[in-house]
Amino acid sequence: MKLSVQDLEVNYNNVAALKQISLEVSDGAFVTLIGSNGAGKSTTLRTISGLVKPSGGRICLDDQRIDMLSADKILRLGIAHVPEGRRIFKDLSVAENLYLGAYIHQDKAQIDLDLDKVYSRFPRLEERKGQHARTLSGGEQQMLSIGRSLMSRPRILLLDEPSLGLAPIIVQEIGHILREINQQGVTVILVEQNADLALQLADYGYVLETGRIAMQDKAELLADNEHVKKAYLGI
Amino acid sequence: MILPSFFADSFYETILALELFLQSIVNGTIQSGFFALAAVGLVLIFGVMGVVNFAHGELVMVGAYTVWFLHAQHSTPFLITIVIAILVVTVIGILMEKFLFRPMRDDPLGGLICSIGVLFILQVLATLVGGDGPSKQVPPPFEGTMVLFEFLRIPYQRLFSIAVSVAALGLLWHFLTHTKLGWALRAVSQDREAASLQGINSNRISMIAIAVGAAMAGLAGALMAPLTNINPHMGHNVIITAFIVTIVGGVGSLSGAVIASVLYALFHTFVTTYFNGTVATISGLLIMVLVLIVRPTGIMGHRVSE
Amino acid sequence: MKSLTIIRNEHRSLGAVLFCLKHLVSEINQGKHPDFRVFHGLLMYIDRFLDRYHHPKESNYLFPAVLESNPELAPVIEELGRQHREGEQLFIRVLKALSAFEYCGPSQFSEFQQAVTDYTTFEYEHAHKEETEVLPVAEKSLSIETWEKIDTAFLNHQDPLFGDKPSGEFNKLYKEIVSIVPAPLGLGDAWES
Repeated sequence: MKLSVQDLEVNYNNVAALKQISLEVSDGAFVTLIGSNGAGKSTTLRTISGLVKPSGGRICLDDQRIDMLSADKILRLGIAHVPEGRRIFKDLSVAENLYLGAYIHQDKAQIDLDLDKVYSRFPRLEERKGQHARTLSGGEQQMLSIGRSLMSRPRILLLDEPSLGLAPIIVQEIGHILREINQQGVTVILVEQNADLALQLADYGYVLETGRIAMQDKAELLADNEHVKKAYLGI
Repeated sequence: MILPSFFADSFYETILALELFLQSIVNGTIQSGFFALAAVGLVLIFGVMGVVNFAHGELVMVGAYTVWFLHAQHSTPFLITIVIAILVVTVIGILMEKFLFRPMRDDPLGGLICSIGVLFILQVLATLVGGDGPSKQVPPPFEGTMVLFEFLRIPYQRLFSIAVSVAALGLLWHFLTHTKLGWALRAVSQDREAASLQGINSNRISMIAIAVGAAMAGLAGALMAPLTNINPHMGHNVIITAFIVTIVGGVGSLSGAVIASVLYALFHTFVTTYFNGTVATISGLLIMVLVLIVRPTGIMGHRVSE
Repeated sequence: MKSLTIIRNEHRSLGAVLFCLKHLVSEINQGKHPDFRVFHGLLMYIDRFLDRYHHPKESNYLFPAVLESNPELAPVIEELGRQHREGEQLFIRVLKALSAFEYCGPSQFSEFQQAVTDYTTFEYEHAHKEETEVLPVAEKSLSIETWEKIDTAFLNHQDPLFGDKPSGEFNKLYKEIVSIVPAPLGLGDAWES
């Protein structure tokens, strides 16, 4: 499943948030978008998943154009989005949140198997499965958000700043989990302000600055780049 | 028992006071059924669609008018008219969603104004159907009164209405807590965007929410029909009560609305019994203002975070 | 050059665990009641990971290759090897201090705190030295064939405890640690005051 973004333009209130963004994400790749706050990383993800409609350019999944589709239709095509700030359903239980992740599926037996897989990936969630999601800590909520998206059986997983506000061992664990998911064949597009984590995990990276792609390269080469090191890796 | 006379007087006075008290509790509990049905519908619509349905009282009125028209005027069996009333009001609700609220989604004020428009349209239609005259009455299909402990009087019609109200609320509770669609409804009311990212179509869910909310309103109207005065303006009191109860219970909280319905109905019944109806309504509104000042999120509400 | 990435990743994982250790100690300083299981879990992870998995890969495959291509780095490599041993000693001091704290009470806490501080600072500096003085040089001067040999050796490295799928097992261990470390540092229940 190949995702192709071509010359994407997005305007908010007559201000250009994205200008000529082009990305190529091949099947099974691990791609990252890094850049500072407001550079357009989140907007790019939200446009791919259908929450935002572009004012120009196109997004294609294999050969099908998807930029005009609504978010719920794009999920059905296999693109799941773990949003910034977790956005779990606080008044529902952990288990109910996860079942809603499988909203588009009807095969109960398979859904239960998927749930078991999520629980074995995130044992803490199983322990808390009957509790209101609002009682979860930040790290647990992030795990729940990822687990919820996994329940839809995505082919492409978009993640928006999963490490935000989380302690180092949790961040590392998220890294392990994303690597595992990618190794199992899911394409991952990771937006991160923690460029160190992002470039450690990804194969390929795009650097966004003020709505444009300033640089793109293999992740390990980006990590070595002087500008990237100074601006985003704090070296 | 033979008592000295002055003991006897105060003893009987106490018994009478106690009987009045208990009867008020029973009346209040029965009354709460209607309030709860109406309020819960309002909360559902507001929670999922973010829009205040000002025509909600009129939906209740249409339910009552349907029962009057079909049962009192055309002798259709009562239970069937209840079902038809629910269907009629549900259809009106669905039409409102499709043609008013959905196109106005980005303009909640516009949606609100449109609902006021529907309010007037429904009142006019009611006048056309029923004429301008005095309020209509529907003779209660269930006759007779149950008497408990030799003093508690519960008319069978009222018993029927509270039983059906409880059953309907129970069904709604089950729907919202035990079915995927129910969870989806709650998810959309909590975070519309996050819900759409799980594949939940918020237009479809909005339609279901208003259908359920309208059905509840229609049921309330149908149950009230044999117990109240039916006229085109009866929705007025309903909407005021529904608002009070929604705010006291906590905006967005369904369980809060139910609890507040019971408390408010008891309060209203007691004040009406011991003072009068106007005092009851005014003090009810004062309580609502008090709640808004002291605890704006209501009994069960949570801070709404965006 | 997969092995280079692997070493850097392992430094980060380790860094996160050391960070945890330090901050848990400061939580106790702030009056929280410690759950000693968490410390045992963290220390066991560090011990197995460093001793059986991480250091052997560096000492057996990477350092010899660097020594061969850049003999001028001999003193640095020797120092790093010595540090592997000194680290072990500091680690044993932490274990002893933990036992004393666990069984003899709060009077032993400051020694435990000092032992942890000394150990974590030492390991940070050791990893930093490796990353700034050895790895960049290795990246530039080792040939592609050498890297391929090292990569293969890394991938085939057997662990005495976990056998031939060590990274999977260490990931499982890491997951368990994340589960018991108290929030907000981990996903476990927060410690009470």
